[in-house]
Amino acid sequence: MRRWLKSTCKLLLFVAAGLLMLGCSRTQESDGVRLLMWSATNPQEIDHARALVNAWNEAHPDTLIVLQPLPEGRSGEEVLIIAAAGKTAPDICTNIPPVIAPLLADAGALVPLDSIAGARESIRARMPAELFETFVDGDGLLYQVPWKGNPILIQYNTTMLRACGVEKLPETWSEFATAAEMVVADLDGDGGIDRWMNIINPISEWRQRLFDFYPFFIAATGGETLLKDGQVNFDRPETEQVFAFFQQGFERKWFSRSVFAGDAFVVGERFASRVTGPWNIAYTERFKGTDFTYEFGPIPVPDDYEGTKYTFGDPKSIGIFSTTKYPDVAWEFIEFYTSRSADLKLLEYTSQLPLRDGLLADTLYADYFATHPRMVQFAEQVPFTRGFDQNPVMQEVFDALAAQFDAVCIHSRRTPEEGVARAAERSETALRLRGDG
Amino acid sequence: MTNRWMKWIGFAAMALVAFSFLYPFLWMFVATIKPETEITEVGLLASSYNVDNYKVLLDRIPILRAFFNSLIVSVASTVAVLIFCSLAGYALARLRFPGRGFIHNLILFTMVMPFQLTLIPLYVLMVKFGWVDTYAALILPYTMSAFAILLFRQFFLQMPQDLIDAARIDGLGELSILFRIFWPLSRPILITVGIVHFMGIWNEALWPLIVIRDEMLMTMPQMVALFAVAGQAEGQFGVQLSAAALMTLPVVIVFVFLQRYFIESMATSGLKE
Amino acid sequence: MSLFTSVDHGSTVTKHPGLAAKEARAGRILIAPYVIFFLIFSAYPLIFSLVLVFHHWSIVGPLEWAGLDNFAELISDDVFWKSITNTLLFIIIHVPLQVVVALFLAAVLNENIPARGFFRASFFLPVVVSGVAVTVLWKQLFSTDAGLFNQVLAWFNIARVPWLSSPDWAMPSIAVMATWKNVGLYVILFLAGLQNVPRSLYEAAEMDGAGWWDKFRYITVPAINPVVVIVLILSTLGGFSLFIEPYVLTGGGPMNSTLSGVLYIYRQAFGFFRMGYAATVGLALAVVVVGVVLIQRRIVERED
Repeated sequence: MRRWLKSTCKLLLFVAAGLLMLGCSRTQESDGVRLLMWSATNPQEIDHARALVNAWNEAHPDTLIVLQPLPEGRSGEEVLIIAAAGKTAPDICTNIPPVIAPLLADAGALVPLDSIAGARESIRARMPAELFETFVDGDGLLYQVPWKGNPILIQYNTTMLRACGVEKLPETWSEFATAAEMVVADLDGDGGIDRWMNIINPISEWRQRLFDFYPFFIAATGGETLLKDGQVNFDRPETEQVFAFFQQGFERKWFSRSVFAGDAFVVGERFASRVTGPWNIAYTERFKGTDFTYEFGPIPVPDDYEGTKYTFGDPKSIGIFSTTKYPDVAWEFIEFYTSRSADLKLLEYTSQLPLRDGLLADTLYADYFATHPRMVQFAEQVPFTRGFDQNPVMQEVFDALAAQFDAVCIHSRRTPEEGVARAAERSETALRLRGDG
Repeated sequence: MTNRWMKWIGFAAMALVAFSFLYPFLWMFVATIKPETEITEVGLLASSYNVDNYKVLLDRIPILRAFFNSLIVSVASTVAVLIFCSLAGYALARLRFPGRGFIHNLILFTMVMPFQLTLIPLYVLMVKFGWVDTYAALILPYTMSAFAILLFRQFFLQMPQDLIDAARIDGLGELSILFRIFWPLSRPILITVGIVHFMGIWNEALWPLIVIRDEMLMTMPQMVALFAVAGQAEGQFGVQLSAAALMTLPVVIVFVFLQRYFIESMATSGLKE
Repeated sequence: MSLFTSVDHGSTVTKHPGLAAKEARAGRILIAPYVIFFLIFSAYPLIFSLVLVFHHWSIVGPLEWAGLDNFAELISDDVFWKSITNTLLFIIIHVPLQVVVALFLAAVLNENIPARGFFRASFFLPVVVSGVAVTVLWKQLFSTDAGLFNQVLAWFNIARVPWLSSPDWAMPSIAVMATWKNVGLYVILFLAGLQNVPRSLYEAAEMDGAGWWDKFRYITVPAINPVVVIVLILSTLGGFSLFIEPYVLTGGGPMNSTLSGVLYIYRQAFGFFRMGYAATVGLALAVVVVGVVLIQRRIVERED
């Protein structure tokens, strides 16, 4: 018994010592300027970041960048907020979701780029003019460097469409409906549908609505976003129509209410289409069956809609945290990181699109687009994308809409009008109590 | 005569129910080695078996590391609970000191205080201490348990006073009395507290989800839950089930050997209220 | 239960004042770790939660005074009230199911049937397995299109049930899963209760001409009553701490039908970074839990 006790105590001491070491290992000092940078975690983006950071460090041995992928496993939003709260944020993060930038900005966690000479102008000059304003905070300052985006389109399984007699990709809601009615079928005659028009993740999580409701809303309104001047901007007929469209889709079984095991689009081939971004090209090429053919089409718009087709752009930004001692160095590095040649690297490594004006006109990128023809369509779309309104309660606004999407569209428990009204009411409360503007 | 019939009907009913408790686990283990296309089938037979799911799983998430983390956290906090709670239980049971009644009430109070109340402030505390993403956040809040203290206290109350008096005359200090005389006589309660606490921590998912973001520090339940929810499994049920199976296997093995202790200990925990 | 009673036990050799002082000092030292633990991990969070509920706080920025805003919002927050009714629904399904199934299994196990130990262990297995593993497993069993349950139902020509994808079915499904997970524990407790009843009591009752109902009503029920109370209270606490099951299975949906109080706290805190409001929801939940448990105790005591 005594020996046992002794070994228990030893173990405890050992654990305590381990804890102390863990606690201490966080502090690291060294001479010379060093900036910690967090990147996104997927392998392509890490490779890309590593290539650029190495190039920078070779050229600037006195201002080194230390690369670390964002701690993985959780939504990047949360990691950044917690890091800022615990004062463990890096100097630079290249994966700031614009949806939380206002929250970080309001808390003073991000450096306003207006405080760095020339930064705002340089950022504005790089981007398509129309996009720039959507990243400016409610207080008029710019806290993020809009870096890249993934325009959201619809990927169609054209083999399946053709087999169902659909010859042309739908561009309007009624074309989509017609195609859907031709696709949806009970193939084995067991009374349950086993071929659907479009895969929608029915989980009640607002992020899922970025791949159904939100792009359709942006497309139907010709590039509007959910808020305008800090007020609700979605209490309008188009929103109700989008809700009605999805409600009809679920009722008519164009969409399934269940979650599917495995990839039911590329691998399972049980859906004719999916709302997705350019990252899906590489994935599709890797996993598709031999006779699987596909094309990307625009987000369908109301039948009477005319004009440019907009969509959600799924943008990501770069930010400098205010805990940094070297905001100017950080900015210099970001300029390098978003330069013309760096943007080519971004395309090559990640198949994501830099938010750069005139991408297709620039000869530097001509080779890339010639060898990646599918990316042209996405590049053309970039100027006509929308991201997130810069308001600290944005996630609540999305959540309010997602809850109503659930009730109205997926489960047909209330009318689109009522759903939109309820979402608007909840958003207004949030905006009034905690919003900007 | 009827009694014998009843006996076999009872046996058949129990066998049926037991089947419904065991088959899902059996099915889970077998499903993980079936080919992806046959996973969803009810039976256990498949055209072939392979361990691809486990390969994919090990490739995607550091699940072995999570197992190790779970082990560190559970062992450390269980050892701490056994030591510190028996100290407190001993003091409350056998030592007269001012404020003893008050502290006893305090412990009762923390036991009935719903955890929902302190969840967020406790998390904030972790942020302020800089303990987010450290073992400290996983272990330190679980180094004591009101329930364990009360169990120890109750058990120590039943020890004969002569034991203490004799030890004191021999010049033993209170710590020696506790650890050299009481502990060897307290096997049942040490086992009960040990198992109940260990299992509680081993299976805890909410708290790690709140304080750990770094994959390298995640415990098993947290990692598997996130894996099942987040996109990393890419919806592959086989891989998700493999994660659940890996988490279940050690528990099943230990349970098979120590089931009597498990059942008795955890039944005691039911008497909490 | 003596777990809670205060017994005045202490040294019998207290005549000597020096020894008493020594004992008091030892007592203070031995209890010190708990006191420190209590101050850090119970007292501070408790006090801080009472501060938080009067503030808006995104955790990054400074605390902003909110007055009673959080409470006003809570009262009119449909989603919060939905989480409470969800929990009550869970309890209403879970408790009777738990009691009936556990009692049945315990009653049969109490008879002299073969392989009792094996059965007891089988029922207990889900109790020791992690809730996460059980939930991941049941997620597959519940799947509408390819799940085991619907496949088995199909053998009997019963249409697919949307176990988790319909707002009407989802919470009952979770309650059934929770019963499967926990029932083994209560079987053991019921069994202990039943075994406390001496056989001779039944035999005596039979001699007095009592039927099985009378025996059940007057002998069995009093013996198991305390266990029913435990089931009631543990299931209530369990219902109000429901988290990982909806987190993994449904994310709280469909239509918030499986949103639990804790999941709502989690969502407010880590989805919207509203620490003040999350703490307010926590406070409200705590009040409801304590209230419901007290009411249950009152009812049970009146019955006795």
